[in-house]
Amino acid sequence: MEEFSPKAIYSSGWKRLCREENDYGMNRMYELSETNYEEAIKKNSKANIMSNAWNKPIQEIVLEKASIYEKGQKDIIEKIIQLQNEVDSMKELLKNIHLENEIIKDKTNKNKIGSKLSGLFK
Amino acid sequence: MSEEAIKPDLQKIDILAKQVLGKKVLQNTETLWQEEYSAGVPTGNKRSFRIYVINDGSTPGAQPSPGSPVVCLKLCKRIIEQDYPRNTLICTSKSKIAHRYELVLLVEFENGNFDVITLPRNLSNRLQYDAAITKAFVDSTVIDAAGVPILQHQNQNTPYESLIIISEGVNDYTSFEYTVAIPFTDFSPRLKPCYIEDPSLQSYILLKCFRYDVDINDTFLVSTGETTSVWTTIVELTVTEDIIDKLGIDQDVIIQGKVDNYCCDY
Repeated sequence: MEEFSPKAIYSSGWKRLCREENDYGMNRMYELSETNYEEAIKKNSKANIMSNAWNKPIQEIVLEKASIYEKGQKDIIEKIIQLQNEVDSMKELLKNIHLENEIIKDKTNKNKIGSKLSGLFK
Repeated sequence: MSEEAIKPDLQKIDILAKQVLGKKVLQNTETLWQEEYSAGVPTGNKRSFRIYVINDGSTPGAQPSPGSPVVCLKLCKRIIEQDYPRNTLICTSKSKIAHRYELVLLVEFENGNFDVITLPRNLSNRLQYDAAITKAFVDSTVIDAAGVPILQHQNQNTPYESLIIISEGVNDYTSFEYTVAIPFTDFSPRLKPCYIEDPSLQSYILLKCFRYDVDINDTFLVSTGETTSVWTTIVELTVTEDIIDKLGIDQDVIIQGKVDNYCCDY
């Protein structure tokens, strides 16, 4: 059994280095959106995310980031489609209003002509 | 190898050795600390790690018993997590050391009782008291009211450092993680870009001269809820060690020598 005193010396031995393009440990916490952050809290803490950043190989981190971007992209596309539909229905509405205006104008003109003609025949 | 005369009883031998390309020594580095706050604002400076050890015999309640305060505290063991400390190259500009560990403390109370506290396992935010786990509280700047650990920064002096409690859930804190990011320009001798790009680059981290300091302060009534509180003793802890980071590659070294050819005798 080891002595109950903390070791004064400890070495890791020679180990192959991991490489990261960005400071994932720090940046990852700030890059998460609120939604993802809440999910992360549910999955137990942003610290876990940091620890995952240390433990996971770079490919996994890249895939995770890619899936976050894909989801974001999907949300954006859905919103664009929604907006486009709203614009189309607004256009339809404007067209109808324009047609109705034309009909009303026609009616008004006919009434004017009719009243003038009836005036002539009195 | 130059064409030197090889002594008759010697021969050219190819030895694979680790050539140390650069080294950085961080002496007297505090690896347990928390960030100092001033008027509620983080300063980016280190201060000693403060815990509020629950007095022996005191439990949260409307009128808690004062219990028996802490009189002595000894650090018995520092457990380093497997595969740590580890080194990561960041953007080919920094060498980032991550160091994960737990601390086992022996606590003596005034009434002669003893207890063993494991940090950070037995830590909680004051609003997350769990009778089965909590033996000490930390400031809300270390673990927030929701039980989520907060990243501590030292960003006033290079190399920059950070510390966080690794968590697998509320009140499930497994280790401290201390990190320090050393720019390659700080290594001696200076690291050439070709060495940094070398895929066989390895690191060797040595932790030496481990020591700790404990300051036992006054008792303090900690509020654990709207109507409950518990008596504690404020303890300030600091852990200090030297961190030596070496970067190297495997290198063939041709020497003159004699191989000890041991043959089986049959």
